[in-house]
Amino acid sequence: MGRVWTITRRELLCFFCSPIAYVVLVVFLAFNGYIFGFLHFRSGTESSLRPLFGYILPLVLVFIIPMLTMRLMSEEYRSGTIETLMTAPVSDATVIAGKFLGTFLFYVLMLLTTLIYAAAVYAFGSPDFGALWTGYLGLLLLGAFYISVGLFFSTCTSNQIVAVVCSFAVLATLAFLTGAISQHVEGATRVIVQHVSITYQFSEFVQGAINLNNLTFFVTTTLFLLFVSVKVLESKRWR
Amino acid sequence: MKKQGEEAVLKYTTRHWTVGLMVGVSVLIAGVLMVLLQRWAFAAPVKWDMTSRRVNSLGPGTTAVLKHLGEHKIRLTNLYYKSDYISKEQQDVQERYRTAVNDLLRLYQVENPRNIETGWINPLTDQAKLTQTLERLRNLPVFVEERKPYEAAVEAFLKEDMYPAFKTAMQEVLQELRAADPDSELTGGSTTGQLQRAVRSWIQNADAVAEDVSGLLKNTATSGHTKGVNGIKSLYSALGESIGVVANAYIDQQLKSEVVSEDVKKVLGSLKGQLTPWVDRFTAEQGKLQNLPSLEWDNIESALRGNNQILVESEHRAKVLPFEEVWPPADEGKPVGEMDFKDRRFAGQGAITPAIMQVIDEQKTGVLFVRYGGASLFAPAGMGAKNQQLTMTGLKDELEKLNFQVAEWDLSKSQAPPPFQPTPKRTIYIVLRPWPKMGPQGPQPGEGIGPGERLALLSKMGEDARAIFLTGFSVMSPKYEFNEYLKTKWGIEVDGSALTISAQPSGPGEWQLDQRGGFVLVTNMTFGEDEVTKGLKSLEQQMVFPMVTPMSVDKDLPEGVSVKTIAAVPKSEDVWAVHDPLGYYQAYAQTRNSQGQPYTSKTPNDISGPFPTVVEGTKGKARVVVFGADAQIFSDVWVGPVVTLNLSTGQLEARRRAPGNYALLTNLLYSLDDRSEWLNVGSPLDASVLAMNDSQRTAWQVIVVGLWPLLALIGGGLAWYMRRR
Repeated sequence: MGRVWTITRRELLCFFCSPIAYVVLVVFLAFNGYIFGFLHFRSGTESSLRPLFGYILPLVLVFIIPMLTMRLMSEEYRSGTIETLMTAPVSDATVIAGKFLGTFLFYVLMLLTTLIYAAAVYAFGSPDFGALWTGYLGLLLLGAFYISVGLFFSTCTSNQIVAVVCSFAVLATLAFLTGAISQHVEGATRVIVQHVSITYQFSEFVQGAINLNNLTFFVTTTLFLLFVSVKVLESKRWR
Repeated sequence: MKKQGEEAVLKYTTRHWTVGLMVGVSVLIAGVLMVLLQRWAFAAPVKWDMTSRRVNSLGPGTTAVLKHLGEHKIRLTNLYYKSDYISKEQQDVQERYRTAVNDLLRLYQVENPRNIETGWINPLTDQAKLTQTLERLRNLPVFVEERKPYEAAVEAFLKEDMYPAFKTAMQEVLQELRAADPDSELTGGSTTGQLQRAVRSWIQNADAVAEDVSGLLKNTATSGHTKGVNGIKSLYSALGESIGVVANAYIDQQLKSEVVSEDVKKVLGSLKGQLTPWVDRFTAEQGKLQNLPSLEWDNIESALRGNNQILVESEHRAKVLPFEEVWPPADEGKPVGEMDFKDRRFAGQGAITPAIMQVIDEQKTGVLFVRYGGASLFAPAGMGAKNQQLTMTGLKDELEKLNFQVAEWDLSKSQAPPPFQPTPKRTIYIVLRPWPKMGPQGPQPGEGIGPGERLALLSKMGEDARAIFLTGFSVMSPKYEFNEYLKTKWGIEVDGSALTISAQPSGPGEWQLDQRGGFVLVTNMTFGEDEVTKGLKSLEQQMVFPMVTPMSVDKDLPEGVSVKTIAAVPKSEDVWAVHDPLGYYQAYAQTRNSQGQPYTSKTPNDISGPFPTVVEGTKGKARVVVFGADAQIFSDVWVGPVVTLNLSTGQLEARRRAPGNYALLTNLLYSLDDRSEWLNVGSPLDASVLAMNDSQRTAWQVIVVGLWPLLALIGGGLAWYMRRR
C-alpha cells in the first residue's frame, strides 16, 4: 500500500508540475461556469445541480479526462522510464493502481472546485442535499470509469495522441452514440446498448437514487479495465 | 549450436503462447465475472433513495395514508401510452415517463397489497380494456347517482305527455291544414303550405332528438347524458322560439291579410290556440334543465380519451390525473412545446396520494373564511375586488383539490354562516381582520367587529372550535378584535400596536429597511419542533409573512390549555418590532446618516426576537392556531399561481411566490382536521426553486465564469512556477 501511495503522490505532483493540468482545470471551470451561470442559474429554476450533473459534466469529462490520462503510461514508454519502473521492486498492479489513484485524486480536486455551484444554489434556494451528494458520488464513479478507460489506452501505446484519440472515441461512443444507437435497435439489443450507455447508467444518481445496477456497472467495469491494464503492462515483460 | 538456438526459440515461443493464453483466460474470466455481476445487479431491484424529500420513494405522508385505507379498495391504472409510430427518441422519453409511473405505482402496491391494485393500459392499443374500464367507472355509485336527474330529464321528454303528445298534436295540425287547403302541399308558397313545412320541420327535429336520447336509457354502455340533455334543451329553445314566432307573429299577420280566405283564417285561429300552450311548456321545461348540475363523469370520460394519465379509483369514485399534474415543469420558464423528460420533474406522489384521499374521503371538511366587510375573497382577479391582494381564488382551487369544501362568510352582513352543501363532517374557521371601508379619501378606519358579531362567530364555532385566526398589524384598527378572547381563553396575546420590520445593518447602530418590503414583510423565520412542520424544513426560507405583529404566550396558561410555537422570528439583530409604525416610518424617511441615506436605530421600546409568529393552542377537543400575520399571507399574491414575465427568458412563468405559506396552511388544516397522518402530502413534495434578483444573479455569474477560473489560473500558475524553481 505504501508503494501505491508513493506512485500516487508522484503522479499527483506531476499534475501540478504540468501546465496542461491547469489549463484543463481552467477550461473545465470556465465552461461549467458558463453553462451553470448563464443557462441554469436564474429565478424559478429548480434549486439543484441536476442540469449540470446530468447532462453537462458527463459529456465535458469525455474531453477532459483523456487529456489527463494520455501521458500516464505512454510518457513512461516514450521516455524510457518504464524500464526503471519495471525493474523497481513494485508489481504491475501497484504501478497501475498508483497511476489510477493519482489521476483520480486530481479529478477529485477538480470536482471540489464545482462545489461553488452548490454554494450558489444553496444561497438562493433549498437544494436537496441527498440528491446533491448522490450526484457527486455518481460523478466520482463516472470519473473513475473514464480514468480507467484512459489509463487502459495509455498502457497500450507509447503515442499519447493515439491514447487520447482512442480514449475519446470509446468514451464518446459510450456517452453519446449509445443513446442514438438505442433508438435504432429493438428488444434485447436495445437493453444491452442502454446498459452500456454512460448517461443512462448515470441518470439515477442525479435524481438522488443509488441503484445497485448503476453502482455495480461503474465499479465492476472500472475494476475490469484496471485489471486488463495490469495484464497489458504485464505483457510488456514477456513480449 | 544451431539446434540449441532453435530449441531456445521454440521454448520462448511456447512460453510466449502459454503466458499469453493464461493472460487471455484470466481476462476472459474477469470479463465473465463482470458480466455476471452486472447481470445479477440488473435483475435485483435494489435502490436507495437518498433525497431528503424522498422523491424516489414513498414519503411518510403517503405511507400513513396507505396504512389507513381501512376497507377501501384502490385501483391505480397507468394510462401512459406506448407506440411504435413515434420517433425512437420520443419512444425513449415516453418509456421513461411510463416506467417512472409504473415504478411508483408498484411502490404503492408493495406498501399495501391488500388494498391497492395496479395495472397498465396502453390507451392506443388496449381499446377493449379501456372500454371495460369506462364501463366499470360509469357504474360507480357517485356517477350513477349524479346521472339520475339527467335520466329523469330524458324520461320526462320521452314520456307520453311531452314528445309523443307534441308529435301527435303537430300531426293533427298538419291534417287540419291539409283539410283547409288540399292544394297547399303542391303550391307550397301559400300560408298553409308554409305552415305545413314549419310544422313538419318541428316534428323532424323532435324525432331526431328523441332518437338520440332514447339510447341513453336503453344502452348502459353509452354515455353522453350531458350531450343528450343539451340536445333536449336546444330543442325546447328552438321549438319555443319558432312556435312562438309562428303563433304570435305569423298567424296574427295572416289573420289580418286580405288575400287569406276566411276558411283558412278560421283554421289559423284554431291553430294559434293549439300552439301557444306549447310555447309556455317548452320555456318551463327549458328552465328546469338549465338548473341541472354539471356531471363529474363528463370530465372523467373526456380525460380518459387522452393519453398519459393515471386513473385513481375506489369503490365509490374516481379521479384522473393529467400528465401536467404528474410531470410539472422543473423550469417554468421554458416553453411547454420545447420540454422533454429532463425539463420536467416527477411529482407523481404529490398527485396520486391526494387523489387517493379524494376518492376515499366520502365526507369533506369545510373551510370557512370569515371576513368582515370588503369584497369577496373568491372573486376572480380584476373582477370588482376592491383590493386584489385579498383575493384567494388560487388557494380555494388548491384546497378543493385536496378535498376541502371552501366558502366565505361576511360577518358584517349576516350573523349566520352560509350552509355547506353537502354537510361537512367538520368546519374549520379562518378568521380575518375587518377590512377598512373605502371612502373618497381612500381607506377609512372601519367599525371593527362588534361584540354581537364576535359572539355570533364564537358561539357558532362552539366549545370544540377548530379555527385559524389571522391577526397582523392594521393601521385602521390597531387593537386586535379577538385579543381578549385569545388572552382569556387561550393565554395568547397579540400586540396589535406593533409591527415587525426587517432591516440591514448600514453602520454602527444603524440599519436600513429592507427595500424588498422590509417594512411590511418578514421572510426570515424558523419552524418550531412540531409534527406539523417536521416535513417542511426545506420550505422555511420560502415563507413570506406580511404585517407581522408580535405575539406572546402567558406563562400561566388557563386551565387545560397547552400552547406550542409553530413558527417564530428568531433572535436576530436585523428583525424586530416597533410601536407606532407610521410615525416610525416618517422619522426613518427624514433621518439621514453621513452618506445621506435614511437609517433607523433601535429604541428601548422595540421588541426584539425571538417571538412567535404562529402558535397553536389546544384545550380538550378545541384547537386554535393564531398567525401574527394578516390575511395577505394566503392571498393569491403569495400562494396563488402567479403568472409573471421572466425578463431573462422572455417567457411567462406560473409559480407560487411563497410555497412555504401554502404548505404550512395545508398541514395545519390536516392537523386541525385530526388527519395528522396526511401531513406533508401536498406541496411539500414540490422541489424548491431558486429565487434571486438580477444583481445577485449577475454577481454570481461573474464569480463562476470569471473570478473562479481566474483564481484557478493564478493559483495553478504560481504553483507551477514555484515547482519549476
